[in-house]
Amino acid sequence: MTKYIFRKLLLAVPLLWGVITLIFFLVELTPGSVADKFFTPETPPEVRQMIVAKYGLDRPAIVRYALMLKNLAFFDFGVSMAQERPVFEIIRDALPNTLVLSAVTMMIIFPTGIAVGTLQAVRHNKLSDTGASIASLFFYSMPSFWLALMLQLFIAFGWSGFIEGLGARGVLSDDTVGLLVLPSSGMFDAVGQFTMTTGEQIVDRLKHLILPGFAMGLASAAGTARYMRSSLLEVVRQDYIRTARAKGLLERVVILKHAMRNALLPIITLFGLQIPYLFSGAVLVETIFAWPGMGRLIVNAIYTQDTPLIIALFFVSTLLVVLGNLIADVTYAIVDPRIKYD
Amino acid sequence: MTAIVQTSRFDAPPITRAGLLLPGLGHLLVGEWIHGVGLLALDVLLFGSALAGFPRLGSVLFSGPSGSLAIHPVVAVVSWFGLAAALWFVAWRRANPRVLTDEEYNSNRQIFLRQMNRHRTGMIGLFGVSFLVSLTLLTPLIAPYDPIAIEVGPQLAAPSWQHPMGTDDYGRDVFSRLLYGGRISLTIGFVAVTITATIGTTLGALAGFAGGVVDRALMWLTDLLLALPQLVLLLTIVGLFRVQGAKGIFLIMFIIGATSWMGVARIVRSQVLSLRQQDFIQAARALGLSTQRILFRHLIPNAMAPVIVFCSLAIGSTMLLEAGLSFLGLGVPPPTSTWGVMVNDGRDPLRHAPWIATFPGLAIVLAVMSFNLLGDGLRDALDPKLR
Repeated sequence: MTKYIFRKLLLAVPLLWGVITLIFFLVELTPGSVADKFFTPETPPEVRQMIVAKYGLDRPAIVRYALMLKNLAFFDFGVSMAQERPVFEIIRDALPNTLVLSAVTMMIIFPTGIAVGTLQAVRHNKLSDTGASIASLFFYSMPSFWLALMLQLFIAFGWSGFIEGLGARGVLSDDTVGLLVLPSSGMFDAVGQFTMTTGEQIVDRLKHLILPGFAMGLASAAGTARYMRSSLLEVVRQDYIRTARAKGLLERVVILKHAMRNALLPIITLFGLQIPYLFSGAVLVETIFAWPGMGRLIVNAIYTQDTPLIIALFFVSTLLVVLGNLIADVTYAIVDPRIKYD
Repeated sequence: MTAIVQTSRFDAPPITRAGLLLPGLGHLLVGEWIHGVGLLALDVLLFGSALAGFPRLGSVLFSGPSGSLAIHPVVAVVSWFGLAAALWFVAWRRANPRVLTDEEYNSNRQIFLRQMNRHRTGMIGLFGVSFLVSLTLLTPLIAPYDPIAIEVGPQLAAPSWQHPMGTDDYGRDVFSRLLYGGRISLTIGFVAVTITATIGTTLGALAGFAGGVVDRALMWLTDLLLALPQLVLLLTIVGLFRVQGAKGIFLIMFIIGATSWMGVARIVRSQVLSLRQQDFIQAARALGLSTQRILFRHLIPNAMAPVIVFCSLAIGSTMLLEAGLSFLGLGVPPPTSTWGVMVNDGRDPLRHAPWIATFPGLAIVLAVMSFNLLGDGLRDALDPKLR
């Protein structure tokens, strides 16, 4: 097993090299040199020379490429051209925020998807199955950014008025109203947090996570449900399930103990495949909810044509994808004794 | 060869002739409600566009610069007659089914057509896609206003009879913009997926057929591109090569196509790997056919079924991708509108004018859903294992 993990990590090196090379040459191919993007026609020549010298832009592309590879090998990402800060610091600030959001999203995707898919398979071809199929297809076909806007509209802006209306009519108590209304953007209450206790701050942060988490996760949860349904339906057809039923076991035991174990296996692979999608989703959702994570960072880096930051972000995201797939592979081997890696 | 009338399957009670009066009516009267409702919806589109467009046909046709003949309205008028012909053909076919010989009845084509026709959700998807495509083709006849003309109505007006989906903050008509935006969104979807399928099929077949170093190199490239978040890659490329105007649309189509071929390549490669072991390829080799001929005439056509399914599903995801790009302001350049651009336009006035963002988003959901339903249907109908 250790050997397998080691070999996989070793295989990640050429992959990372390929990604970095691809992005570097894409940047080089763009019309105009990298330096030109930072100059306005009014920039005095001395300043130009200083900037060019500072970032080493006067050297030929191949030399800069070699230097960049050498630096990246030691996880030295250089200095951001737009923010004038070390890229490492910028990523260190943003990455945890995205990881928290991704973790919450995963916690929405998998339990929801697995539960809905299982219920559908159990009630195969019944009305609730068809209804859930249509609903999951609807969410599966939904752009995450539009879902984010609709969540803002209905829950953060519009629906909150509706809930307050219920509170005013005495249907809900004031405490419940406060709990239901969710913030529409940001990571925490920037003004209120100074007067809050630690417990309140945690609750505040959790409340800020709910809407972006759902916006990012609902489509994937619907996809997982579709997958889980077909996976469980396939398992239920097998002979050992018939045996279990013939033994007179409760249907609940047959499904939850016997069938689920095998039906969940393909879902683990789904976990590994989910990570690039999470990054793409984060780009849109973080922009809408003003979430200071990697997604917004990427968008800003592209708007400002901040080459070192772009390359570093691709480096980090590829690394995370490789790690995610590795975790999925290893989990698979632990859960399914039939799988042997060596 | 005896002609066999499959009376049970090709039953056409006289009442199906009601369809000749109004396509869809015949289907509905014999209880085929999906076909019936789908065709009736297309009828509504046909007559609606005639009512909306034909009274002002002159001004629509000569809407080009300084009153010249514009190309899109001409296409629209031609498509109007095409749609009418197609609708009445379907209705006529239902009333007068073809009599098939035994051989025809058991041909792959007829089996596929029967399976597809029986697939309920697949047919819903097919009618949804047909509706969308007809809608985009007939747009110049239907759209009440110029999509980029500002102040055709009051700013940020709520939906009303004059403006069925309201107006945006420049006083542009959201309904007209939605119709014209759909043309761009759908075109990008179709063209990008065609590029995807072409690149993916060629590379996948090459990898599967050549094997060895070529195979390993191509699969490494596939893994590499699959490890990258596609939207981020697209954003980077589009952000770096910013192109204005109509060229920008072509650039987007090409870049989306060039960064999403990996799935097709993998499918075609595995198909080719299993097909090349089979007898008919051995026979082709023994006959001394050239590699090219074996590849393009024998291997690829036999590997196409899963590619078609993949493409139908990919049009949906491509439209989502394009919408995401446009939403971030890096997609189709203004003043052209696509559904993604329109959702972005509606972001700032979301609280006061939610209709600007809501309707194009719903259009995206319905379009993507139709393509997904169609793809599922095609997969079930093309899959020999399920027969």
